[in-house]
This record gives sequence, structure tokens and C-alpha cells, in this order.
Amino acid sequence: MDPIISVRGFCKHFGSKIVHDNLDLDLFPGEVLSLIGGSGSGKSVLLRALIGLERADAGRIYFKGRDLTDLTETQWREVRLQIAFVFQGGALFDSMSVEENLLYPLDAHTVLSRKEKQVKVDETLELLGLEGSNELFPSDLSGGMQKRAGLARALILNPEIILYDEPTAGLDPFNTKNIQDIIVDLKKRGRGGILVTHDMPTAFATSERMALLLKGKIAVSGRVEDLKDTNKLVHSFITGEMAYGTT
Amino acid sequence: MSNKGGGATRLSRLAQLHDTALGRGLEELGSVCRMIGDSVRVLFRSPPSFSAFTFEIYQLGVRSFVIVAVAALAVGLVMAIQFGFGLARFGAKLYVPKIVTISIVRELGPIFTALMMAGRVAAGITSEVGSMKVTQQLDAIRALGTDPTKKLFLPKIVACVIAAPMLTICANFIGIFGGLLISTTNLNVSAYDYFFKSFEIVTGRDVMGGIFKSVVFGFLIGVTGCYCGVNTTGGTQGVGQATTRSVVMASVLVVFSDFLLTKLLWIIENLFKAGSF
Repeated sequence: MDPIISVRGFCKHFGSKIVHDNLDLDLFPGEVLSLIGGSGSGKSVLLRALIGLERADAGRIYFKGRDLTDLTETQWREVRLQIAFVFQGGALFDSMSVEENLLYPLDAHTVLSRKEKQVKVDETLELLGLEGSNELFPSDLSGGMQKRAGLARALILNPEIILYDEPTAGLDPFNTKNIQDIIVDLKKRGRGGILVTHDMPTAFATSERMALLLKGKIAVSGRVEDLKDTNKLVHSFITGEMAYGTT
Repeated sequence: MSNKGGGATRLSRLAQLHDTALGRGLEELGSVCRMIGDSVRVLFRSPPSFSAFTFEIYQLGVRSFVIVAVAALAVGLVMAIQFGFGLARFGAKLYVPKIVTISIVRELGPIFTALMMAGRVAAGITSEVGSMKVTQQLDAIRALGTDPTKKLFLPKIVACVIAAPMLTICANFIGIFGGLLISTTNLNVSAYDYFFKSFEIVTGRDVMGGIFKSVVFGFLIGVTGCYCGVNTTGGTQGVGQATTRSVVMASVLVVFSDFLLTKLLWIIENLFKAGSF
């Protein structure tokens, strides 16, 4: 099976700090891949590069075989309709209600009637357990609700791939489980993606494969069952034995 | 081989230039030009909705009216007092309406309006855009396949370009009214004389020159506010710093460009007088 997203020789640096050094990564259709690694190891930067929010210094990024590396901002906009990004804090527009946040991409990219848009908004909110919160503003929502609302906004255009940037960070166990269930449910509906996380239970519960980012490269990748107990690097990361400087 | 060496040397020099103040200045200038270019492209290719413009004109223009009006009134009052008592020594109080009016229409109306807008509007734009930047809302706009220029920057810049001359016209009338108040109450100049002398001296060119300046000032204020906002870094403290920077930059740009525009308008006026047009 051909990968739906393929990263080859990806390099990125900020000033003198080399974040990624000749990194390779594949995401296959329908799967959720957990990308783990220490703080500051460049997981989020890589995720942002996959939708063109960061530019690679070198290397190529392919989506369904199409080379995205040198796309213009206008060309990236088309790609971003197929690859959704769920921000860590939700990144909801704080001057808009939840409903207006969800209507924003619909207004920009669809020609649906007002009634059809309303139906779609209500369906999406219901899918994420946010029914009835249409008129609330982001400041009225809890952290977990903000993340789910951000996810709802990302999903409303039916993307093929979802990139999750630490979706369970800072959440209590109940909301964490809630997000896990949503990711698994979306995967069953054919919407896989890449999950950047430090939360190992979430990675195990949602992902088929896992990749450990270390010293700017994917140090190890493979099936979650194969890695979580037997791989020394993954084990030392999970147990906290991996030295901070190695990230 | 020698070409490659030359290329490497040039690249090395460029890298060195990038680390200098000049290099950073040129980079910032390039970023500003790119923002302006993007705004012009969006304006002509896929402009935002009409309501986006009217919303921003209300927020940035209409809601600035009170502060502009107060400043303009104060300017008119103070100018009339100062010139009134100064010129009274020479028995030339009747020149007060002319001096106040011409000064306000040509210079003080546009520049005070612009400085008030630099304080209120540029700061407001930068804090809004900067907050969106540090909370990843700008990234979210891009991630949703939409364009921050179309959603945010262009409506604000256009609103500033439209609001600044409107507010300047209001400021001109209010400033002249301030001069009238002092002239009639303290200088024994009748309202009829005041208006007659005022409008005797002002020409269409004076008014249009002031309006032209205010259009440029509005553009500079809008672009500065957006530029400083989009380059905000470092969380809430960064938003504060960017807002301060924005007000300072916008004020300096307004004052400095006022000099250039005044000189330019003076040259154009002379060309008209010489019959070149």
C-alpha cells in the first residue's frame, strides 16, 4: 500500500538549532500514527510543516504522491481542505461563538444554503458531544470542550487526514478518554492521521503505529504492539529513563 | 569553479548582511511590501464581503470619532487663543480666523487625526492581530484553507484608508468651530467675520491636500498595525511590546511622511502656479 503522506529527507533548523535532520516518515491510509518524542524535539514543527505552516529547509513532503514542498500559499489552501489540523489549545476564534467558528470554513469553501450549513454544524457538534453549545463563546468553554470544538471545526469540511497536536494535553482522565474515543471513532470512519502526543495511554489506545523522534530523526517506528514493551528506546522514553539531552 | 566560489562569497556576504541592522531593516521592509502586495492582490482578485469593510469602518473609524473630535476642538481653541493674544499686540486679531483655518485644514487637522488614530487604531489592530498570533488563531485561519489577508488585514487597512479622511474632514470642521468659539467670546470677532475670513483664504487645493495626506496616513496606520500584530512573538508580554512598537512606529511614520507629503504638495502647487499643469 502506498503511503498517503510521505516525508523524505526533511530538514529544519531555527537559528543554530537543528530540529530535523534528514527525517523520513510515512503515513498509510486509514491509520493513526503516534509521533512521540521529548519536549522541543520538533514533533509539532513537523506536523505544521505537513500543512505548510512551516517551510522545510530541505527535503520533500508528498501527499497522495503530489510533491507539496514548493507549493505557493494559494496552492497550499487547496491541500489544507484535505488535511485538517487540530491545534493544541483549540485555536478557536475568540470573537466568534462555537457555531460561528464552525460556519467560518463552511462559508469560505462551500456553497451550501444557510439551512444546510446549520444541519452540518449541528451534526458535527453532536458527533463530538457538544450539542447545545452553538451560542457559547470559547471563553465560556472548558479546556476539553475547547479542544472538541477545535476538532469539530477541523472536521466540518470532511478532511481525509487529521493532524492532532497534543489533543489530550492538560485534560482530566474523563476528557482524555473522550478524545481517545473520538479519534478511534473517526478512524473507523476512515479518517486517519498523525497524533503528536506525550500521553502514552492515548497513543496506545488510538494508534496502529508509533514513531519516536529523537535527535532530529525518526529513531524508531513500527507497530505499537511491537514497540511498547520490547523496544529499548521506546521503553526508556515511556518510563522517563531517556536522558533529557537526547531529545 | 570560480563562478561557484563567487556565488559562495556572495551568499556569505548576504548572510553577513542578514545579521546586521541594515539587513534586518531590509527584511522588515520586504515583509511590509509583501503584506501590501498581498492586500492589493486580494482586493482585486477576491475582495472580502462589503460587511467586513463596514464592520471595520465602524470599529476603527466611527468609534474613533469622539477622541478625534476632542483633540480637534482643543487644537482649534488653543490656536485661536495663542494667535489671538499674539496678534492682538499688532492689532491683527482679524487674521486669527485665516491663520486658524488654514493651519487646521492644511496641517493640523490631518496630522492630529492621524496621531489620534495611531494611538487608538494602530494599537487596537496590533493587540487584536497579535493576540490572534500568539493563540494560534492566525495559524488556524491558514490551516482552514483561508487567507488572513482577506479575513483580517485588508478590511482593516481599507477601513483606515476610508476612515482617516472622513475623520479629518470632521476634525477640520470641529477645529474651525473651536477657533470660532474663542474668536467670538474672547477676541471680539463676529461669527460672520470669522466664517467670511476663514473661507476667503481656504482653497480647494488646501482641502484636497489635507485629505490626500490623511489617506496616506490612514494607509500607514493600517499597515503598521497589521504588520506589528502579525510579527508578535512571546505571549501576552509580546502583545504589549508589539502594541507599543506599533503606536511608536505609526506615529513616527505619520510625522515623517507628513514632512515628505508637505514637500511633495508644495512642489505640485508650485508647478500649478507656474502653469506646468
